[in-house]
Amino acid sequence: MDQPEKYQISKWTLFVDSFMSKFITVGGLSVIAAVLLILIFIGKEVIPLLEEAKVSPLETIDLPKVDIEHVAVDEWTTLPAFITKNSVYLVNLQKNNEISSKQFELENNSPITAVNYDQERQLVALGNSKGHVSLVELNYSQEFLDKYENGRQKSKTIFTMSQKPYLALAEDEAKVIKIAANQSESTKIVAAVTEKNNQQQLLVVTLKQSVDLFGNVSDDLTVDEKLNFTEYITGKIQKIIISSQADSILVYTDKNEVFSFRTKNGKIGFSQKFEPFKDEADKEIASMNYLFGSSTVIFSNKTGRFLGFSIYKPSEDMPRVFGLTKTTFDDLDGGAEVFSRSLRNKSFLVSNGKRIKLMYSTSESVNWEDTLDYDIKHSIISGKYDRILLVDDKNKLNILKLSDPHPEASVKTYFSKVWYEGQPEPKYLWSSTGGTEEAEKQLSMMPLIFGTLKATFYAMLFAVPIAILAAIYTSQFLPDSWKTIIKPLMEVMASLPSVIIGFLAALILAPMVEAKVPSIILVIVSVPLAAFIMGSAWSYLPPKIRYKCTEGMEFVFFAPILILVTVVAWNMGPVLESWFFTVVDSQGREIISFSRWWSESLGYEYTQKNAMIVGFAMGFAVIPIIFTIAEDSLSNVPKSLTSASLALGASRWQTTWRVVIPTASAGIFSACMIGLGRAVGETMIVLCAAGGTGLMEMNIFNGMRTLSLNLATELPEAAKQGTLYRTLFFGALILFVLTFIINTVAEIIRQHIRNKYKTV
Amino acid sequence: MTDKAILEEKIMSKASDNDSPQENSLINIQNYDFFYGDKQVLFDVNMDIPAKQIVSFIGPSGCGKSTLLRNINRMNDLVDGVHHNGDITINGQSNYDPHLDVISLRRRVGMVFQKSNPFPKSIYENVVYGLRIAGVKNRSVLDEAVERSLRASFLWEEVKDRLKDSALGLSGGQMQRLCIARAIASGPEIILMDEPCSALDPIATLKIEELIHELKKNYTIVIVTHSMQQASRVSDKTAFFYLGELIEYSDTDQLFSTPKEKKTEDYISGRFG
Ligand SMILES: Nc1ncnc2c1ncn2[C@@H]1O[C@H](COP(=O)(O)OP(=O)(O)OP(=O)(O)O)[C@@H](O)[C@H]1O
Ligand SMILES: [Mg+2]
Repeated sequence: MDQPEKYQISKWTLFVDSFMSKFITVGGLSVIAAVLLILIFIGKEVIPLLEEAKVSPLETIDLPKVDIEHVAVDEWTTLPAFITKNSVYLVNLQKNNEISSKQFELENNSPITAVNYDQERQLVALGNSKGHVSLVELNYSQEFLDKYENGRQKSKTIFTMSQKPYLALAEDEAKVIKIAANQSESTKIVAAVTEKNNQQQLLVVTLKQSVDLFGNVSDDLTVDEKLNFTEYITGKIQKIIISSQADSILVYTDKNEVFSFRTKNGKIGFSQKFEPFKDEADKEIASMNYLFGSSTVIFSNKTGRFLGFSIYKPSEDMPRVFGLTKTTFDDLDGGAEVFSRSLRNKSFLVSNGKRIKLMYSTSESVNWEDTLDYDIKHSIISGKYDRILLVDDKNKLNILKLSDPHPEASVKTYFSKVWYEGQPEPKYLWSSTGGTEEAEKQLSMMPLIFGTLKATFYAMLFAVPIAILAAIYTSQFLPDSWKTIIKPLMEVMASLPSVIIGFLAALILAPMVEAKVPSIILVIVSVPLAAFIMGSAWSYLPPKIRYKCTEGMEFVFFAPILILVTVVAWNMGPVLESWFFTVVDSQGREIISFSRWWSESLGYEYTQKNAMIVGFAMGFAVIPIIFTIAEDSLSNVPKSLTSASLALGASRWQTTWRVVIPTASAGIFSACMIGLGRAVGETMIVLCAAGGTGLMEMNIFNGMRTLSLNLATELPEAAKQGTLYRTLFFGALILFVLTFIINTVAEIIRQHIRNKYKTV
Repeated sequence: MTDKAILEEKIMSKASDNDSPQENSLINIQNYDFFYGDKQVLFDVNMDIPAKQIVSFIGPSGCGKSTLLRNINRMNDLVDGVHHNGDITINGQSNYDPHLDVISLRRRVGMVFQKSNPFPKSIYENVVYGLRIAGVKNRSVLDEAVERSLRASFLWEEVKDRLKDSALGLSGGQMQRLCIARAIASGPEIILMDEPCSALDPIATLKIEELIHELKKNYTIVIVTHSMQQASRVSDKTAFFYLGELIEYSDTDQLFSTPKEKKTEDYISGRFG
């Protein structure tokens, strides 16, 4: 402090200095913190996907000692019903487990000999000893009470059942020993096995509900068709099941063969016979059950192997039949003695004795398994997929709480090929909605990652050469006066909102390109070729003529020729098309169309919104970025180096190629990488122009679905905290990681190049 | 030497030897005016530079020394909006002959810059750069040229074991000698040097001066310098410029001992500049 005053630094300078350095530190740290917070937020949404299913016992209730055949339960698990051959017993969980019962009606006192229950349609089918069948609809409804608990209005579950009159199925009054029924909106199907004098018959009846003039469905059922399928069957029938769309009947026999009957053009008929465990050592079928949606049937044998058969078209022109699609389920010793399916997803619960497993069909995984201390006789999963009801051998009802919020999430569903229902082969597919509630969710990340890379690839294919060449030309050849026009122009181009580029691409470019592919091909080929030829020719001109033109202004001569070439090539397109790209249509006429040629002669798909459009549009968005950065780094190559090269007698191009580009290569590389980073995450353009189908083809005339596009379209509609919602965040995480990897690798390579070519 | 460019030049110089205007004069500058845009920086310069001699340009800063030097190999073409009157001929051929290719001119007239500017490449690649761009691919020719030029620039012993290393690892003086080696590797006739020692310490400067002296045997050298001692040590003839005009041009000894012009005398005695 004893320094003379003129050497002292003013307080203000010191203050500003320390303030700025702190300000910058805080700023930098908060950027890092923000990125980390985003990562943490995404992670928080994704991590629950890894959670396993949790099951915990809630209560145990004694049931009357009756022979329970089936268990039913309402959506809210308040009023489970236990179906015997005579009646339905109800346990009111809302009212101290009070037990009540309702009897089925009989016909002429003939005892009921077969009973079946379909949980999805809440339909009971009864068959009696005289060959008569009857349907009983169970109905649960909620009645709101005037009482409130925790701010929620209390409600009471009301159970009703309505039995339809008996219908004579077997003319010979044979006893019904097995029965199944199901219904769609308009039809009901009842299938029954009858037995008389040790002779089995398989009888099927389809019923139509009559609809009156006002569209009201009446309660009366009329017989539509009565069929006898006995002739198709060999062996004794063990079980009948009917799909929930009432369009397919499956039976299996003691010969371990499965017979499938399906509706075709409104008529049900024999479709297929197969032996599920044909290739296994143990061929004996132990169980056969539909999964939710009735597209997949799960078989088990006594050794405990599980196989899934789905219905699909093996090839385009064949009818839909069952084929083996799922083979890697976990075993359960003894097979599935008790089976129940979820009505929400593709989960199913299988048990044998005390062993119980909750499996998921899509991922073929076990979500929960346990060995209980009682023998399980019946099981049911509640409609909301939040309770499991188990009835043990002592007629005790065990209610378990099930918490499995994301059953379909697994590494396999995200990253492996999955044989989805209805597909002829295992595939990587994304389809989160699938049209109906029953459709299997297809959540593969692969087509999205692929689509992202494909879009990026085509964009870079288009953008990198143009941007880099333009940058080289501008920085090395163009006179300064032109540079000052080109560079701001490029920056204007960079500031174009991508939604505008996307819309122009989708609405104008896409339809135009579709009609003009050959022209575009010709232009793409002929313009660089013409430029190359002109460049070569120019260098052979005598210096006298060459030096007439200011260096860098040669384009004044070239541009008109290039424009001419472009126009000619564009107009030659249709000629090229008529020479090479014609197809013959069904009437034998020749049709000149590239897009039809592409799809019909080569067998690739042609869609209007395709990778080429995305490449053009996204390339257009990326070009100015790459151009600006590359141009800067090229211009920043020290003049002393170019002078040295020129003074040694190098031409401008030699100087550019041998000195400028290597020296600027680190900058050019980061320009490409920043462009790449932009293309990977670009959303609006792909949203407009990518089509959005998650295909895994490099085909340039086909669309794609990118991670960002997927996120943008589906996140607003996804139920919060649901599997789709979390899966979308998982996609976001992948995108994050993808850009992170690209940037890190790019930075490492860039450092490497920079060390190699760093200048003094 | 099999380099066809060099052969060509040899033939060309032979042909033009005959009609050279003045005995022994290689570079001939006649009534030369030069303009950067509207600004004239050289005024009616006339001088002859004899072959295999060292000529130094001296003068106060901004007087146009570098400008004139850079016009001998037309490096000023790179500046926008320049023009000139008068002519510069080398061996009788005009630098501004419309049939002349600038590239061949520059191969004939090498240049060393004030600040050493090696390429960010290996020492070897730096030296052979001129040959490579001339299309020489023969490995033995290149190797031979590297050794010859590095020996000629007294660098061989120092770098012969690290030819593949980056040239940027050399010291400032070594870099400048490398640039000289690079300039002579492709066999020019004339070497232009613009203050080649200004960034070097006295020892390195001395080395370069020795080198320049050695090069005189084979090359014609024009050197711009701010050091009067250097000019008197290395050059045969000296030209003094002042505000774009050539004030005096004569043998070095004479210019420094008995300058004809008052301005020259003031300058060399340190009274201005
Ligand atoms: N690229 C240019 N554009 C415009 N004017 C220039 C340019 N280069 C040089 N000049 C001007 O021309 C004049 C001569 O410059 P020149 O570089 O030839 O001087 P010099 O004698 O080499 O000086 P020094 O000894 O400082 O290097 C100066 O007035 C300078 O400002
Ligand atoms: Mg100078």
